[in-house]
Amino acid sequence: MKRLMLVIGLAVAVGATLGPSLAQAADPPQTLAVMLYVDTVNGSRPAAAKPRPIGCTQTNNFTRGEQLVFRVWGTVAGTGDILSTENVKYAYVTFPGQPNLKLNWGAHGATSNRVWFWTAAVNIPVDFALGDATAKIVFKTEEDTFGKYDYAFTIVPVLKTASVKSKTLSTASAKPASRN
Amino acid sequence: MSRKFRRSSSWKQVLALGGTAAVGALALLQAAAVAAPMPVTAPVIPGAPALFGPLVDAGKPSDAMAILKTKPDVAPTGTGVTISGTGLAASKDVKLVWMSANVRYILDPKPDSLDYLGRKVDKIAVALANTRTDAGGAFSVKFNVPKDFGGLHDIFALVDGVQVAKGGFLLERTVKISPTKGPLGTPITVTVVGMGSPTYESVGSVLYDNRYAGAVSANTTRGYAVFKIRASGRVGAHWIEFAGSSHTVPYLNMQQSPVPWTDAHRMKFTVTKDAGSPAPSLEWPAAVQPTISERTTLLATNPAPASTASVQLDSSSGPILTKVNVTASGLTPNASAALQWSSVVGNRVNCTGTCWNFVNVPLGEGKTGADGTLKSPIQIPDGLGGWHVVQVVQNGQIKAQVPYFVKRSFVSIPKVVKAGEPFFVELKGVGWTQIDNTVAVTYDNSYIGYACGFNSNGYVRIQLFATGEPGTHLIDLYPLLYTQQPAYPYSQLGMVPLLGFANDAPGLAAGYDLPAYRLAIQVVK
Repeated sequence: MKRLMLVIGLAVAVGATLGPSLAQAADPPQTLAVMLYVDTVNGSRPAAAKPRPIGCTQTNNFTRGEQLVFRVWGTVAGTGDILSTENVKYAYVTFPGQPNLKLNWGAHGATSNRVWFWTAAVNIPVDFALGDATAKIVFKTEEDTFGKYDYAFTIVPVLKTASVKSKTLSTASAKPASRN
Repeated sequence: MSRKFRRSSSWKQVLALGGTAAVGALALLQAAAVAAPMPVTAPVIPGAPALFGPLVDAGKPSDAMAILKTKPDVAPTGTGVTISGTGLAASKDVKLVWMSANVRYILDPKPDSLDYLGRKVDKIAVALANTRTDAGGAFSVKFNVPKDFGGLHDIFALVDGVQVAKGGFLLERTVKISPTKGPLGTPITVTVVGMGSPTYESVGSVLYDNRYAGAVSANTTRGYAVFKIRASGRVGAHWIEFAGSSHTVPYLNMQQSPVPWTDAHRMKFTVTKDAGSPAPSLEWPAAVQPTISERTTLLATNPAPASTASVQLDSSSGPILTKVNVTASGLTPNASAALQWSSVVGNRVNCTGTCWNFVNVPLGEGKTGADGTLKSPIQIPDGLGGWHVVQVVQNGQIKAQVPYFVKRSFVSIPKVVKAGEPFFVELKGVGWTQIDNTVAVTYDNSYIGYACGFNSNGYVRIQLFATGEPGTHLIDLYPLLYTQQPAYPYSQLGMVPLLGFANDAPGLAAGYDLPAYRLAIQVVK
């Protein structure tokens, strides 16, 4: 799983970084020192919002009061070394309207399936601006090379939804129709 | 001086007489049939809001973007709002810009068709207010929510052209119906304010008692849609749902989507009685000025460059068999001249190559006067609807041309039908382009299919079956965008009733005046 995520991460980071350069033929090629993969998940216990039915799900769409958790994987381009506290001087997220957030290196998941990656959690203020926004992820390695990634996300309002008064038929109680 | 004019009447005669000119015209038309899809400027729609402010530069984002407070930040058009910022540079001029969009339809006008390719959305920044930060780097401004597309709008505070702070606002969608009760067949006006500009917010679907009636858009009306359906069903309460959609049909769990604000609006209408079938009626789209001059079968270049001839008609549109007076001038004096109708023959069914061809229908011939003029009445042929051209031909050359729009015409529907029995609805003058080759049919506000007039030369005979309880049942025919043969990626609103046809439809920019037909039958045992 970890290897798979890294492969995905490399592809995403390379694409994101090289894309604009390739579109401008006049620009000299850039040397990519650090490759990053970034995604976000919803925190399971939001501070000021109703928890979603499923926590820790990949999403870039949040309501105010929810917890937005950045997850970052990275490698040093030249060596293929995984970015960790062994080779990173500092890593942080610039989140609009907030002080910079330190990214922490740690293990996650069940004991039998632990995965190491970088995280930073943001409790989205209840009065945060609606709409699209961009967070900037920055890594500096012990070799003084940088990895940067702009991550777009969207803040949407909590809206009233139709209330359901009738009894709900659950999967457990539903019986398949007979074929006979 | 006009001369005696002979009118042709048979198709054999048509083809024989039209031969020479047709060959020349066909070659020219095929050469001219190279066109490119283009976003077309929308016509001015009466009642639709205009852009509320001047366009401005959106500025460049700063690395450290502050956050603006907007109260309230979820509200409908017209609501008073306060937007404020803190922690900014002191004593600086601030421009507030509201991010929005302009939406245009993409059409491909060609001599042999008019294709519909979807929409083009251009993001724009609109000046909202100017202010200045105080000595503490704060500001506060009040504004009213503009008449604009619904959904999320970013608001940026610009200082010296840089976006130093960002706010956001959700312009809520509102949906109202009027009236809320009345007899079966009552026209119900649905008013929607705040439809969005992005794809998944730009289409609404109408369900009537959970039956799909059609789709609505407000692309060229800045999120403002007004349309009509009719009350159907038995006496009692009925539910009209304006559902969020992306392309045609409802997106039923929109509340789980990234754009949950487009979730359904539900309204109750009470049918008070069945007073019998309402009289058949037509509902025409808004009278607008087309914005593009391309017309099907119109030669893009003058086929006889040396010709200074011109031709006018005393009307520019009408149904089949309309009598129109033609006046041509600048022709060779005292010489024979022919008038002919330019059209096409073919169909789109299983089309893999050239599937229709240009044809000319002779309208008559005569001699010009000593002053080179020709005046004569003609009769619009009983054939395909849409844009055609009247051509003036002399010496085998098309000397002049003028477009004419053939409107659809209703022919018949029975008044009474036994339950379970078939019946027919007939129309004439149905066209052949992706804009006008088809009509969508609803039965008691339930979309049941479409009918095409291309292969049958404009004559549409729709076979339906009388179903439901004895009493009045409604049949409505709506314009439909035929997004097949050829099919293009991402063209919304295709193949379903275009309920908002009167105010927001791609064909309005090209002069397609396509009505809805409001019909009814009495079902008896």
